[in-house]
Amino acid sequence: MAKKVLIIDDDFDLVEAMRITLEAAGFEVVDAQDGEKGLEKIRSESPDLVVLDVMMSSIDEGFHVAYKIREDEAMKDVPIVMLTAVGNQTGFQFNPGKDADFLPVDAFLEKPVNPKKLVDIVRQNIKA
Amino acid sequence: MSLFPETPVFNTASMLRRDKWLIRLRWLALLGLTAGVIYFSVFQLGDSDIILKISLVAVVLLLSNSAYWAYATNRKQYSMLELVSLLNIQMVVDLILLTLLVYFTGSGESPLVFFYLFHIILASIIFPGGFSYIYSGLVMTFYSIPLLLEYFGVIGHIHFFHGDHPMEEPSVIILKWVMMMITVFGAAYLAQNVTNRHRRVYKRLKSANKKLQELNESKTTFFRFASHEMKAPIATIQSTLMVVEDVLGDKVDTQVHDMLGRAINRTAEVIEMLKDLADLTYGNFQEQQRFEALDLKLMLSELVTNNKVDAERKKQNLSLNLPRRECIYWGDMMALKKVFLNLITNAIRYTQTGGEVSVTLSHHDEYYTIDVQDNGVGIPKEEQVNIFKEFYRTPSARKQVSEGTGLGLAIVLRMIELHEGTITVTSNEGEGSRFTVTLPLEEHL
Repeated sequence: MAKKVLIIDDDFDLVEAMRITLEAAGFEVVDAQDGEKGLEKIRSESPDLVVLDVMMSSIDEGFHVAYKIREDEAMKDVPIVMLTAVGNQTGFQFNPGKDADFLPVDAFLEKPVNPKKLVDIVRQNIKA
Repeated sequence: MSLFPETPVFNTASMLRRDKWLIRLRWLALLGLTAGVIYFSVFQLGDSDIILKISLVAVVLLLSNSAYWAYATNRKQYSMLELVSLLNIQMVVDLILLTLLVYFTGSGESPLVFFYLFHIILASIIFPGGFSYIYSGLVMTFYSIPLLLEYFGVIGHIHFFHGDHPMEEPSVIILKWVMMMITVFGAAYLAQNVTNRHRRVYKRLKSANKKLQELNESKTTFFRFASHEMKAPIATIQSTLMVVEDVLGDKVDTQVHDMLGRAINRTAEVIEMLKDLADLTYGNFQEQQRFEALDLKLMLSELVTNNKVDAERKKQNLSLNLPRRECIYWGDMMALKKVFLNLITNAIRYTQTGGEVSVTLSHHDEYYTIDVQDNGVGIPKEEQVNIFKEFYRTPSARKQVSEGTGLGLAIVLRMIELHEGTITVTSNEGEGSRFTVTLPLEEHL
């Protein structure tokens, strides 16, 4: 059975671009437009991996969603790939090696999303 | 160029205000003089002949000041030269009248000599710098004329006060006391006037400066948000284009494939420029700055190592020279990394295959210097002043390397200013360039 990827992002066009790429690579894709709906979808769809945008309604909504996922016994083990903004203009800096200690995510992916990179990162982090 | 250029402190409006102020002061002087004449007559100080002459001076003062007053209130337009001439005529006439008064009241022994000082102070308040020295010379000339004329017997000395021991006369003592009081308070008034003027100008400048700062802040806020708002949709466009390219793959002919590739590159360029614009505003917001104690040697080593691949691709020798001693610096890591990454990539970019690029850190007593030197194309002298300007790219740089936003060195300068450092460039066309960054060490940190 195809592995299921949940994309939580409020940018519809970006979601579609990622959906086409991931579906072409053989994944099943579901999506949610904000953090709250995303958490619901994790419960109802039990995805094998979550692609999570940092900046949605607020500049750090993605962080809060990530923490909620990790605090919930039912979904704490789902791998998270965090989509980060372009060029870190918000003052937040991401460094997977350093920040993974306090950011409970498995990988970072910078926008614009390169399709090959997206597929690679999803494949690397999804559990067999 | 005008002889008297208008400045915030010297303009026609302010000169006219000073003229009117001077006229008001002259009315006061006339009042004092009239009081003096009455006092002399009542206490029978001085010859009636002299008192008459002093009265005549008072009449001349009355007439001349009325004329100045009529001129100042009835005209609407003045040129700067006209006002300066008018004020000078008034001041010189005042000096002549004062000299007559001083002569009538005993030349060197006249208590009125102090009033010469008022003219010096007034001249320094009213006119641009330099005039007060001309007036000092004038005052000394006018002071000397009666003294010399008396000495050589051309005119007679006037013993203004009667009696052998004038100081014993209460009327004389009171007169001297009043003169002294006018001198002391007059000096205090003028000095206060100068100070108030300075304070007013200072206040005006301060508020103007604050407005400029606010303007600059709103500009950078605008930059920051505009670039941020534009980045997300363009990133999505690029992501979409990449997916299209990926999905279509070899299904389309090369022409379409190339077109897609160029579109992707162009969106990448726009994103690069928006990132750079956001960087230009970096540090204008307190919450963005992250100063910490950082190891310059480590930072530069990392940067040089990361750029080795690019240098090797062009068969260039990228070397790093570090001092033996520890180089800890209180700075913003992200900003400084941007500075040196920018300088190193520029050096590699604008140096021919097989060239040399070196990075040298030196520890001085009060500052660090970091030299990034290459033996590349160099920068023509006439273009060196422009390279730190936003969006400027030298014509030769454009010809040589197509990519680049022209914001790199503007960002470098901005980040260095954030550290109160400096950057200088020495370069000869065809011989290479050396960028020297100076980062001041602050002892108190």
